[in-house]
Amino acid sequence: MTTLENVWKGIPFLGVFNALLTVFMIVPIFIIVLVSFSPTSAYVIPTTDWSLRWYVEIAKYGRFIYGFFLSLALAFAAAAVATVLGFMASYALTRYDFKGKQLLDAVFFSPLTMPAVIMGFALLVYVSKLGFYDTFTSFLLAHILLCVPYVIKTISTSLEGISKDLELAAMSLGASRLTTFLQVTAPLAKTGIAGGFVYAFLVSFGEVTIALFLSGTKMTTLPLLMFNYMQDANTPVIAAISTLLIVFAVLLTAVVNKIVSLKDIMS
Amino acid sequence: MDNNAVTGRVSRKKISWTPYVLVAPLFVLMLAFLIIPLMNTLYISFAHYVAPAVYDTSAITMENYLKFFNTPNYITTLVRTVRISVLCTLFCLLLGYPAAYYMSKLSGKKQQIYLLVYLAPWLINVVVKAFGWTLLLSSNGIINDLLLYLHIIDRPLQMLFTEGSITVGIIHGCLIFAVLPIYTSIKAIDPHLSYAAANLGATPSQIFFKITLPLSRMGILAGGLIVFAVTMASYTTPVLLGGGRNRVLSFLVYEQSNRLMNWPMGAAIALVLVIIGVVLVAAIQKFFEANRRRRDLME
Repeated sequence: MTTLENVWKGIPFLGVFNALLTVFMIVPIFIIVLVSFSPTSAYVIPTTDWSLRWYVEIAKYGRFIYGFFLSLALAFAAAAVATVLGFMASYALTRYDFKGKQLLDAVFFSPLTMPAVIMGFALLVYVSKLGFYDTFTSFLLAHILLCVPYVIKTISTSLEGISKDLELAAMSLGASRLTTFLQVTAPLAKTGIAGGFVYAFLVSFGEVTIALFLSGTKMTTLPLLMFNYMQDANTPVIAAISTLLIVFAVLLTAVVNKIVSLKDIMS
Repeated sequence: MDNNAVTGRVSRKKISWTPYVLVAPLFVLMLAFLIIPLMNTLYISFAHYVAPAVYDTSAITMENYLKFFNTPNYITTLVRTVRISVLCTLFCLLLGYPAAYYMSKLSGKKQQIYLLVYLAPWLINVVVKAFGWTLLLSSNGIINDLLLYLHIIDRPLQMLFTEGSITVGIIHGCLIFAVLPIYTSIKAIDPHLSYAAANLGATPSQIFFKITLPLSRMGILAGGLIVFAVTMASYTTPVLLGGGRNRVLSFLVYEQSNRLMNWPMGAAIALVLVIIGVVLVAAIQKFFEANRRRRDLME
């Protein structure tokens, strides 16, 4: 018997809701990809003639290319320093018990909860006083701070997963602490270290708020250029650049998800 | 040799310096470029503004804070920021709960895919996301074009550069912060509870409202607090999707610091932003705790 109530019950509300929500999550990203193939200078979704014209056009925007390489260099440098320092700190936090551990933990994770606007403002005033406003150094320092929590989280998780018995076994067989570290711990933590590096890279590469505060005319990172360009002139070239960034993010995510589960890092 | 360190036991007599040496470089860096700059910000918020980028710290003054609370424009902005944050938090929880619930019932592979769907906005640059919403919401954007084409409307709706567009953009970016803690708390519920309840004749909706929902309230609290804190301090999305008329508090900080270069005032606004965030978060936490205590007494 098909009463109205039965029909009502037959609809998988939760499934429908999640399908709609998925559309909501994906559409704003997907639309950019479509518009980037627009044949005209208007933001339209191409129906018949798909054009690569705006991808070719990117080459004419020297500032964006400069910004891309600047962001790339910055992200590599920040991720490298954050990974080295973060690894040292993670090792201490997971392998030793010492006074002030809780405090250090809180300090190292504070950039995660600290609003970017506050960090940007505080650093602007501070680095202006020290005389390195609008320099690579000030950006590098800010980005290292931002990356540290992600690096420590990733590497600590992987260090905690390494059985301490392995290290004890190596040492009871006569290996020194350093040898144990180099021959046992470090190789086992390799994937965690790589994961931490990629996370740090992602965080640094996408950072825009602190950059807005610290940038004058020289340090124009790619996200910053896009931020400014979006508010002024507009042609689908920004859609083309955005699409390339989306592809870049998807590829990096695919790599990093193989190494460490994203879910573990976020929670 | 301090082999004890590996086992996690520290000998009482000898303090091992190794961990301190290992954390020192990072700690010094964070002290010099995070903690001291923040203390400095607190300090100059009580300074007197002299000229762009110049301030006088010879006497402590409350003038910046007084000016903030006596300027109607600032208060309007403050109220707007709180309003947007509350709305975003509520929507993220309302949308995030069913999403997390659904995800928790899925099998491994499907769950991974859903997780990536919700994580996607987090991985993609905020500017790119805002651009996507601009394409959809602007007066000659995709949604307006579609509605005009279908003759649902006669003239384009003003959707971009409103508080609504800010809210939508932030919900899109922040949903994951609500989904993950709720998902974790639902997953932590012992499934036997539901089986037992079902065995005793509880209907699915009874099971949900009497078991699942109350037991996942800490996830709701955590998710809500994160979304609220992130929204209160967000800058990029409100500026790009809100336009010139819908300013939020974080924009005022930027305006003071980089345009007017009135650093004492900027510092004061920054601190108001932090303090209000902290106070509201504490209030919500208190409310939840009071509720829990009341529940515990009743049970």
